[in-house]
Amino acid sequence: MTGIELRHVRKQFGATVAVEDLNLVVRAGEFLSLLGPSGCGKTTTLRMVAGLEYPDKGDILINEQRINDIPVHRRNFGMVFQDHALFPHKTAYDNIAFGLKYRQVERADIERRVRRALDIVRLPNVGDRLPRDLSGGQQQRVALARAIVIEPDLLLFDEPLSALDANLREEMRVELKRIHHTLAITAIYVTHDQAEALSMSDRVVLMRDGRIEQQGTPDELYRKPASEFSARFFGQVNDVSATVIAAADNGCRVKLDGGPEVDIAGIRANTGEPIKLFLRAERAQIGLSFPNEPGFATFEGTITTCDYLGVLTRYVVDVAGVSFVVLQSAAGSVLRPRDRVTVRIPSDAWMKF
Amino acid sequence: MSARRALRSLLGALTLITYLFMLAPALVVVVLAFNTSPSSTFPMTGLTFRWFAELAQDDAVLGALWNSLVLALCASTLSTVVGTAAALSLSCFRFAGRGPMQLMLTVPILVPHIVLGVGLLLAFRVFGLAKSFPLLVIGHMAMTLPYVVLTTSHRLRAIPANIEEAARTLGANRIQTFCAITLPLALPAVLASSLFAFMSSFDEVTATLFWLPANMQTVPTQIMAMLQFSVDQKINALAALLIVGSVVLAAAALALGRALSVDEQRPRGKRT
Repeated sequence: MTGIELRHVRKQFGATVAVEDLNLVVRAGEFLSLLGPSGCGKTTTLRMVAGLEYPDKGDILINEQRINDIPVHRRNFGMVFQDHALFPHKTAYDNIAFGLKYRQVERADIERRVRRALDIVRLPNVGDRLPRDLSGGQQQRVALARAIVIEPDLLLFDEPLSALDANLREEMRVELKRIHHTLAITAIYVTHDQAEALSMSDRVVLMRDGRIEQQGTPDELYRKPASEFSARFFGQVNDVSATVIAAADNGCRVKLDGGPEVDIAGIRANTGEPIKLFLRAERAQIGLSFPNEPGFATFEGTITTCDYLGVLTRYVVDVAGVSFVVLQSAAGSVLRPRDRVTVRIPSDAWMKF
Repeated sequence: MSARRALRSLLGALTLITYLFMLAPALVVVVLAFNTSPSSTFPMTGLTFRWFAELAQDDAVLGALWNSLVLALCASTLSTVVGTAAALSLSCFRFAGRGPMQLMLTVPILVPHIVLGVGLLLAFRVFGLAKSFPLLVIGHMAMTLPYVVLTTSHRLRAIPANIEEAARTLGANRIQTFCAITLPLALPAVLASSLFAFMSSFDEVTATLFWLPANMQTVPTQIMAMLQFSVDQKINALAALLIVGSVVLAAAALALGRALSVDEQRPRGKRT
């Protein structure tokens, strides 16, 4: 297994800086996601690793060896493209066998390896079909088989599921994870879909404007966002302006602007300091009433809107002039707009950047 | 509903009349080629293959036919090779002078052939070159190159870049990628345009008259020469052969293109 390292990598297209001073280590066997909005440099980074773009500055290293100048076709990295990029004039079998033809593999061996790759992606009987006769999901599986049959040192994914519909995407996510596990191979996965990145990756690298915003395990990124950008990237976030009215070692007491006073755990601030607080919509709860418990703040409020989302319902609650967005399981929901409710927020749910 | 049907019949009739208007003269030529009367008269006096037989004996015509075939073959082959290379560089690379180059390669299609004819002839003079067969080929290349460049570069641009990139990540270098992926996908366009180049070179008369070396005729110039003396039935026979030949060639090209082309449309699978 091989890991890969990027050191001070920079890439510019015309006047646009796509990637700026990027440092990244991908460990051997790891499934790493490059996540970010479009234009954040994630695809450019992947293409530089693949050798399809040449970095303006910096080094890309494998086992401490600089590979910047090794051309694409000698890198032995398998790549799966966004719209699968199958060769339209070749059958599924020939698509998969393509890479082996340039690798001095014997005929009988080609046959064996292609069959095995088709088995791994669970498509044993489509070898003689042309891409146009395959469904979207099958096409993506053939593209995956084509990338893994060459036994690559690194597997690169460029938003491979974004062209599929939602159900298929879900199914392929599980498949990709299984195949990654089966092959025990280092993988870099580019996506703009936070759910994809969180559910599949060992580690997620969140990018913004050509730089790394934050990296860590999916859990770390979700629980301990390092910035407002990170926090907002994984779901809906409330932001509230407040003024510190009392400070302590392990927290403080603030007055929300125009709203009630709240105790906050884990955030240190100076008395009198204006601060901006953030709260994930799913960490707040609403109900008709809650028992008084330590570690929670409760406020009275009025529901202004309800959006039924299926599994969840999104409520907007007005608490003395401050609007809170609350995401709550939709099961058994009986709350309606204009209902008087209690909002309960754990004192450790607040975030400050 | 009935108004719509009437409109459709009207459209059908109009289409038929248009085709008739365009094709009837050609048909008349083919039919008259079998007429026994030595002058092109109607009604026909009888059926004969005599004019074709005479044509086969006519060394001037056979020589012209041979010249035209060799000329069209040379010009279209060279145009195809050079034009495909040019199309490839125009559609795959960004380089200084790309715009002007594209313009230069397309402009001969807009310039009247008489201007091209005189222009190249003057250019020959400036460089002190005598009229010769190779120069004639070069002239025809200049005229047929735009067809190849336009058709092929259009096709090449329709091939998604990531297909070629996929081939390269799989271990094929640029040349292998071109041979295994790009060329097969562009082949229908390349073949169609080379056929078109062949036919337009075979047909060309205006500029060819300026460039022909002494004592050399192509089929169109030979026909012109023959027409100066009389309307010979042999001309009808020759014209009939050319018409049938063109139709067969065009049909063959269409069939070949259809057999080779792979559906480049969006895949059938669901997309969001």
